[in-house]
Amino acid sequence: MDAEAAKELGKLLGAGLSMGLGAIGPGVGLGIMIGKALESIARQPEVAGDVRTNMFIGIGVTEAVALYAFVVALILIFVA
Amino acid sequence: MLNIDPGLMIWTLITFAIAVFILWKYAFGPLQKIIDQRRDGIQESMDIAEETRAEALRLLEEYKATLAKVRGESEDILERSRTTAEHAKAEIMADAKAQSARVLEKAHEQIERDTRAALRDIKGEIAELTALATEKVAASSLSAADQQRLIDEALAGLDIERLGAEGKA
Amino acid sequence: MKHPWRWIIGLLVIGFLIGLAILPGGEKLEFEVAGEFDREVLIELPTIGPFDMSITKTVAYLFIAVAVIVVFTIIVARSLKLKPGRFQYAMEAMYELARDGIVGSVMKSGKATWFPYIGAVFFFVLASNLIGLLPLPFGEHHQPSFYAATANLNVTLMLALCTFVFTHYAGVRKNGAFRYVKAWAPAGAPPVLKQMIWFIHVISEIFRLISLSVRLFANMVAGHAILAVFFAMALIFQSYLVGVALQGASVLIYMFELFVAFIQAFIFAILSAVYIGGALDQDH
Repeated sequence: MDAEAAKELGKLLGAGLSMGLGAIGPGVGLGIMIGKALESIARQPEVAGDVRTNMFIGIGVTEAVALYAFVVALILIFVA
Repeated sequence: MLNIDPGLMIWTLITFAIAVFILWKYAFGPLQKIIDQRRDGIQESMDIAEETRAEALRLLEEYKATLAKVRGESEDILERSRTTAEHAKAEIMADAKAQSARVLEKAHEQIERDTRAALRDIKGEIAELTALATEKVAASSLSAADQQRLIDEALAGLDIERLGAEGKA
Repeated sequence: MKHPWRWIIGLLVIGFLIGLAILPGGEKLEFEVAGEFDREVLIELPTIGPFDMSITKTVAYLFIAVAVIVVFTIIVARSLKLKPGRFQYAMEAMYELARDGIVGSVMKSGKATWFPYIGAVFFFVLASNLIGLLPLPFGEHHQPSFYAATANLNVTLMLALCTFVFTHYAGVRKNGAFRYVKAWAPAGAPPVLKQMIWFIHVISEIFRLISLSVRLFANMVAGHAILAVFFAMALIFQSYLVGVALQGASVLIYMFELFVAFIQAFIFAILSAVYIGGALDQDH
């Protein structure tokens, strides 16, 4: 295997691994967060609007972690 | 998509500024104004409705109060007239009673008087009759002295008191 | 055999799918997902200093977004009535979502001052995202294709930079420069720890900039890449069966992308509001 092919392999492997592994944490986090939000809405439907707004903020913040992994994958494939 | 493109950033800034300006000046302002107008209209009509309701409530209270007053007054009047009537009735009854008593009294007196007069008359008559009868009987056999004695005896034996009582009854 | 026609239809569908599967796929087409996101100059314009002002595909999408905003604004502003019709009601609902759902729910003070900016961010990002879901003829050989202005890091970075600048401008104007910067570290902390916390806060401010821009950018790129992959699956797999079967899935993905386009605009605006509100009321 020459150096060029090894580099290509490393890039693709790293991109896939980064996306796959990086999605685990946010996936678990999002599941927990949305579950908790639904729980609290079910318990107190009168604050549903507030909970939903804060849930979306939380989703945005948590999801960003997965998207960093996505961007790292993109950088590995297209830039590195 | 990841490469740096300063021109694109400037274009973004320009377009974004245009969007902010247009939305601010021509969209948000008028929308806010129309929403405010609608809210004010609703507020106004709600205020009017509230006012009308308060007015109606006030009128109702007033009518209720007036009605209660009138009812009280009428009851008062009724009560007063009833008392007056009672009074008048009692008075009239008393009057009538007194009157009748007086009439009765008078009648009694009259009867008494009449009875006494009648008795006096009867006494005289009886004496006369007795004298007459005695005269007729005794004209032949009796002296004047005997005659007087017999008359007195007969008169004493006559129970004038009883006659009086019978006449009275 | 209560419903024989059901069986007939089912057999026909299965036969159709088998036919699709054994039919030879079309000519192998080269398809590169990343090509959809390439910089493509439409009109050449002079370069001023470091700024190459050429109208690229992304700039064209930005123009379309602004044009959509202008058109909607004109329609709304012209036909405002006290008794709203359907269109006006929808616009008012969006406006009230921006005013009460985004600014009203996260900011304490300065709502009236900062609403125009945050509302404009919301509608600008929303317009850009939604236009990205219309097939517009900007693809190869003017084929209809999906692209969004917000699927370019430069655009989202510029928007995030606007929020970044306005955040600190709002904080400095409200609290004064010294007090604003001082409040980044808790008052009661011991000296060294205080400096460390302050430093961490500065880093987090810069990371906010990155996370705000990268979140929107990566969401749009990922969504469009998945859409492109699903739509192009038939070409990639060289099979009609896969193509037919995946069209349903791509419709679902498309609907999800509609949701994402809206949610990302919402999150971008609400985080801008949170940052600006945090700079205005520094009570921590």
